[in-house]
Amino acid sequence: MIFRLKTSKKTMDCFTEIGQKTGLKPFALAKLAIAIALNSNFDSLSFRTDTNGLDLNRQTITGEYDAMYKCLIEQHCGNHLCEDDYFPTYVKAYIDHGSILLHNQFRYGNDFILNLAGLEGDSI
Amino acid sequence: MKINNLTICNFGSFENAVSFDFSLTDKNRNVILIGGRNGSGKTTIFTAIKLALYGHLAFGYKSITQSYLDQIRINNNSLSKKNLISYIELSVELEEERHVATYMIRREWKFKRKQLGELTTILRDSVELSNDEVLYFENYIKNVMPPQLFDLFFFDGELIGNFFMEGNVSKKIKESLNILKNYDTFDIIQTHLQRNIIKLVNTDSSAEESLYLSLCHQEATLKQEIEQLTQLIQSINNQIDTLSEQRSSVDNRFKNAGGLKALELSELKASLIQEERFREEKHDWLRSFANDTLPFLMVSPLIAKLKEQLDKEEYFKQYKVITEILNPSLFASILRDELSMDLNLCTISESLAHKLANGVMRRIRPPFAFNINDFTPIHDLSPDTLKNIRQLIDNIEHHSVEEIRSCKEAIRCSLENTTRLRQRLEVVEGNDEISLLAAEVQSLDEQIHQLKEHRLELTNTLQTKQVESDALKPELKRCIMSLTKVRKEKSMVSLCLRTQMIINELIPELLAPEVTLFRESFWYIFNQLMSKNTLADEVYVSKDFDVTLYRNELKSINEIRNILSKLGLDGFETVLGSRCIAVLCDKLKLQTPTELENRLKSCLSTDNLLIPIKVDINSLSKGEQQIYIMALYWSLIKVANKSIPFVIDTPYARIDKKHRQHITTQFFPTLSHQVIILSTDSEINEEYYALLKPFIAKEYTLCYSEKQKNTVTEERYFFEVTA
Repeated sequence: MIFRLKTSKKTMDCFTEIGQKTGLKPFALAKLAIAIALNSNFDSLSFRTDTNGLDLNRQTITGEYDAMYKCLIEQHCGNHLCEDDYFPTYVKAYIDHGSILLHNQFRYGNDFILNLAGLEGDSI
Repeated sequence: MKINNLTICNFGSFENAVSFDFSLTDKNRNVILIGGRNGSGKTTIFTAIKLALYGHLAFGYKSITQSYLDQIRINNNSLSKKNLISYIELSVELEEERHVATYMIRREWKFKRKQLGELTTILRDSVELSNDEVLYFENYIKNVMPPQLFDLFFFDGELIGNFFMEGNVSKKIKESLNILKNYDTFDIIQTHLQRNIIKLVNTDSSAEESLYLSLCHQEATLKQEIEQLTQLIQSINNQIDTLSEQRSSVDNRFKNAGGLKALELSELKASLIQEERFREEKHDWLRSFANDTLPFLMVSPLIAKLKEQLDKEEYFKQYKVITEILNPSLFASILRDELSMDLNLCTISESLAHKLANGVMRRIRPPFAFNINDFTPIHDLSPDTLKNIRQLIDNIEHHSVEEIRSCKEAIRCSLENTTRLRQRLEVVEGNDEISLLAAEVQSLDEQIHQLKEHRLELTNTLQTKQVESDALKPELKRCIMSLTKVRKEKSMVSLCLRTQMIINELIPELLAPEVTLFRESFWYIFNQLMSKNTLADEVYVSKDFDVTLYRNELKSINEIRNILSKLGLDGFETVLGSRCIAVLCDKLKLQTPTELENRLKSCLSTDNLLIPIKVDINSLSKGEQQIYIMALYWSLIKVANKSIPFVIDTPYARIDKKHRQHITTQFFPTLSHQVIILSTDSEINEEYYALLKPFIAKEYTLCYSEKQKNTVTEERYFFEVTA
């Protein structure tokens, strides 16, 4: 069983940039990246990425919600995933993909969090 | 007081009860004459009266002691009697306030267990007195006839001379008179005063005085300190008030200028910090929310799908389980077992079982899968994980992205607050005038604080001083009390001395009429008794009852000068008497004896002067001395003026015939209302008996019977027998 993964260089850069502005840590950003990826249509299997980024721990990223994230990813994929596939392969794909989407949200939104929550553009 | 009756029983030479009636019926007859030769029992009567009246005091004992009882002479003949009672019974009349009471005093002696015991019974008008009354009576008797003056009431011719000749005669006369007239109370007062003076004069007040002074000084110092402290505190209070006023004025200016007090400033800063902390908390919450909850909220449609999928999978699982259990073979076996069918039914039951099983499968088939083989579970979760996932989904459904909005709103408000607070702070910190005012307020506050601290210190000191002062008060009070006591004692001494002085002045004044009476009485009886008229021409009684006889003689001045030059002034006075000097001074018109001495030295006159020359009592014959003594005795009794019976034993001891006659006719009849004379036949002989006879109330003769060895009495005097 593998419990660590290395993000792409791009992911690392995104996270660093966003983290400096919002004060959010990479593990929180990783979760948000997974969520934003789950909202998008992307083929995780064909997604290509590198491993020159952050070294993240499974426990740090998903923690107590690990089973939930697995379920969500399975649901998104539409098929069952074995443990080894789920982590690190799928999770890394979702993070690396999501980080790009997250970076976009960050760059083009006024308030990052509100934007993510879908509340951007309200009276705030 | 009058003696009515005397009974002597088995006492002295008297055997059995012998009574003497002493009652007086005729007031001109005052003499009870009891005759008896030597050893006939005269002295027993003398003693019996004394004993009856005074009991143990008669012999000088303070109580009934063995020594006293040893002196009680029980009649020798009676000792052999079986039931021996020895007693003396004296019946007296006493003048009480409005009544003459008859007292019967009985002193009885009995042997008990070989010991003699005394029993005293006193009846007043035949009623026995209680113990208290006996005491009262005894005191009364002592008052009427003081035991100190036994020798006066019981005149013993042999011994009376000693009373008047030995020692300081004038003092004895004065004392006797004092006692008889009850002036001795003054002596007792004097003694007590003297004792008090001696006791009190030693008290020294200097220690108390100095303690009192030091305490007073302490108190004054403390009082001054307390006053100073109070004033100081008052002045500090004033200063504080002034500063407070200043401060409030500066404070107003400061406020008007928009300034903030240090307290407000700190509150402002605290609010700022609080706002920042609040925002920090909110940001934390936001981060935590972004980490834990937001990702799930972002994918809520997917979660809804997941929930649906999970439901389906669970239903599918249950379907699978049920259909596996409720298969055709189960139904077949049930039918077989339950219906106990015959062979005909066997074939039917098999197809029935298949139909039942297919029916069940149809009925419970999941609605989401038309073909059951088309459904593939994606998640295939264990029951525990499923439970956790469902719980988590429930939790997520309770949250809303709106929470972020309210959090952001709170942060925005907090930021606005912070901006406002910062602006106020900037105004204060940036204004010089306000800063100066604030500094002034602060400096005033500091000054006030310092003053208050100083005041607290002073108040504490003041309290300590007050406690000290309070503690000093009772001490001072005690000191004053003891000082007052000492001063009182001192004033007591002066009071005692003054009282002594007053008494000393009073007594001569009280005694002055007595002196005159004494002199007159003496001179009267002396002339009555004395046959020789040339013995003395006058008697001089000083205020101290110093009795001096003077004989007037013609002396030339030369003679007088010669005597004076030989004896000197003091010797002259001793030999010729002070009266002589006084008369000489008077005659020569001089003031003092010294002047007299000087005048006589220079005077060479041969003139004769009639002057009183002192008669030396010791130069008189024994008989004349006895007359002199009897005159003193008589006048003393007259001055005392007490109606007391007198018992006289051996009256004519040294008196010659001529003088006996005078005594018999002048002395006895006038001495007292009751005179009991105990006499031998040679003393009051036939001649004097005849002279005395008109004054005799009762007469007895005691005769000692050699045969019976006791006294026999007869109610007559010797000479009636012979007459």
